[in-house]
Amino acid sequence: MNQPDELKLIEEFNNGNEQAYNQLVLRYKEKIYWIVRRMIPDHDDADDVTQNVFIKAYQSLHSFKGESSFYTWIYRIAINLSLNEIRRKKIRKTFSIDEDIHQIQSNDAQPLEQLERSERTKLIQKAIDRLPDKQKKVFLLRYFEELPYEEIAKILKTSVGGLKANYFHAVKKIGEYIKNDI
Amino acid sequence: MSILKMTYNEREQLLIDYAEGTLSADQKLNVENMLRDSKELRNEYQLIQTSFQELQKLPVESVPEHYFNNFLPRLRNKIEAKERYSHWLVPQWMESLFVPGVTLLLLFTFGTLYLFLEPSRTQSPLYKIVQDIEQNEFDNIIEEVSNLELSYGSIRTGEQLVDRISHTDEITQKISTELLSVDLFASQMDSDWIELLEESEIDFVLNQLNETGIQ
Repeated sequence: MNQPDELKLIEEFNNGNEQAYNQLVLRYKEKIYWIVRRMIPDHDDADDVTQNVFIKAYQSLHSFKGESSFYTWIYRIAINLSLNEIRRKKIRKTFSIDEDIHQIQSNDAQPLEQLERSERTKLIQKAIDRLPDKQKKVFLLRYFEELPYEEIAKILKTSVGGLKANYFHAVKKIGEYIKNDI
Repeated sequence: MSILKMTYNEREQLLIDYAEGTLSADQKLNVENMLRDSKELRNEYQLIQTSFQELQKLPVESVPEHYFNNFLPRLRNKIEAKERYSHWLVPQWMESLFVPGVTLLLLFTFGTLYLFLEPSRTQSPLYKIVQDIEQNEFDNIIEEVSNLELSYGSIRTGEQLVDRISHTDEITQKISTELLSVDLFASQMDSDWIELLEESEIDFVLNQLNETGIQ
């Protein structure tokens, strides 16, 4: 359910009070940033997407009907924009070789332990990237955001049972990917 | 409840609850008995454990200093810049007419194109079935298929799949039986109707299955 003060802030914003929107941004900027950053590891890219989430929310808030909570609504925007960005990056990467060259050069400069940690992070990130969209969304919201299944069900508009099955398969696939790589 | 009486969905939900430590003592004991009795279940659980163990080793991400402090002012600058640009592109007095005008133009253009260029389609059985079901029914099927354990690397008999799909809806069962009763990767097709499919229809189904992560 919406916090009463959030509904009030949204109403004030729709009546022209820009400061009301600022309050909402201050409340959720970190949560939204971190959910985006889980999907998009690069800080600058995550920052761009996070900004776009709040811009889109700003432009669409007049049509927010209050059927879900504000943060459920804005989470949905964040996930969809993050997935769009991931798809765009995949297309860009297909036509670019520069990124690979820079990666090789930066690996040479790192101490061994840092390199191993970095490789493990990349492996897990790759495993998460390979998940189907639905499983990826559930996984990120459950594992990293630690949201209850009921909350995730509202965000993704699906059943709790279906979510658990998606989460199970997501975690299992990550395990399979890691096991095959070791 | 015995593992043999459970659907795959129920097993999966129970295992993930067990891994997350949210079961009661009785339920936990039940799962431990099931794990003891089933090698397949033990293997699945091991993969879940591997996953969680590795995930716990992920380093904590960092952000540049003062990033969050500067977030709102930067956002405000962007919003104001966008508004200035949009007023330049579409003057305020035209704004109320802009969206309806563009929508009408697009409808007119595509409507005209559709009337002249409507593609003729082969009335293959698959197309007819697909045409009759709603998008959410098709999504349900794809979701169910993507959650199935395809350890053999290809789709097997429709009967096994229908058993593993918990929906009772007639249309969903029908599409599952018709669409998935053929091993699309087999060298010989059993059903005549599959040969009537156009290549684009087969590609469409394969793309849908690929997108849902089926190996």
